[in-house]
Amino acid sequence: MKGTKQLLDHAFTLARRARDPVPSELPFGMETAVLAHWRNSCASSKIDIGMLRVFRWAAILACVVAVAGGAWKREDIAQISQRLDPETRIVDSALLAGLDQ
Amino acid sequence: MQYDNFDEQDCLRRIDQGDEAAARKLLRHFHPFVLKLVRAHLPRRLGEEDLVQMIFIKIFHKLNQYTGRMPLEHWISRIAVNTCFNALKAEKIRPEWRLGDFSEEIAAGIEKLAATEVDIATNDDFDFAKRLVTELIAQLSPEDRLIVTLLHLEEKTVDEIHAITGWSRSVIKVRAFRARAKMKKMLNQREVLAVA
Repeated sequence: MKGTKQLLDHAFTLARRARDPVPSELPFGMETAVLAHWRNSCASSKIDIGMLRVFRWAAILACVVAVAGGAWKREDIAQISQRLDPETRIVDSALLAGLDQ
Repeated sequence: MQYDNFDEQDCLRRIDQGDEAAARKLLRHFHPFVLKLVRAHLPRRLGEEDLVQMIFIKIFHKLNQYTGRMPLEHWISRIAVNTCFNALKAEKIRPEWRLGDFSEEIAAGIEKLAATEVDIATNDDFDFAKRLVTELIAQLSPEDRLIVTLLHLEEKTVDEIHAITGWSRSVIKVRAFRARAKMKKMLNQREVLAVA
């Protein structure tokens, strides 16, 4: 009589040779269900990609507007600091130092 | 596989363009392959058709992520095996193995099987061996079950199992050893049962 190890190996060897008939036709409804899911996922991914493109272009446009606006008003921004008189500047820096502490 | 003139690259390109006929062709071409994998790893309570359908839905959903770095068949088998493994893990309640859990028919057939030579074995012997092995494997944890099926029934190498599961080679070897020990223990219990 075979030992347990040999019996197990023997069973595996025979099991590998067992017939495994595969149906030639797809199960009823499987093709329809799988393709319907595929069509839905294709449609939703197209919408996602479309939305992503819109957001990307909106973000780029917003950056361009911000940079252009900054460049256009650069001189005005520089003048704001120059408009302050020396006393106001001292008070301003003191306030800033106080806030830091 | 059904379609002998299956052009994989052309089919994938057409599917990418939304060609439904190509998607149908891919489904029909790989259905026998996926079904075979599912039968090898089938969780007891889940119907094979449901699992095959779930796998194909995943395949089509992820098809745009397929880079072509590995053969499509390997990529599909990876999805199929992992889906089966997850389904097995979802089976939370697995009854404890008890002495006498072998059906009487199987317990009686083991002695005959032991005496059967491979060269003269009949289809009935092969089928019986498959039933016995399936019954033993069904008692293992999902991880052990997956490794034993891949290693001993599908005759994959440790490297191939590593590629499919992502587990380290040493983990695979240790799990395979322990799983075999559990199966041997179950067969030993059968011997005790036979003597009693």
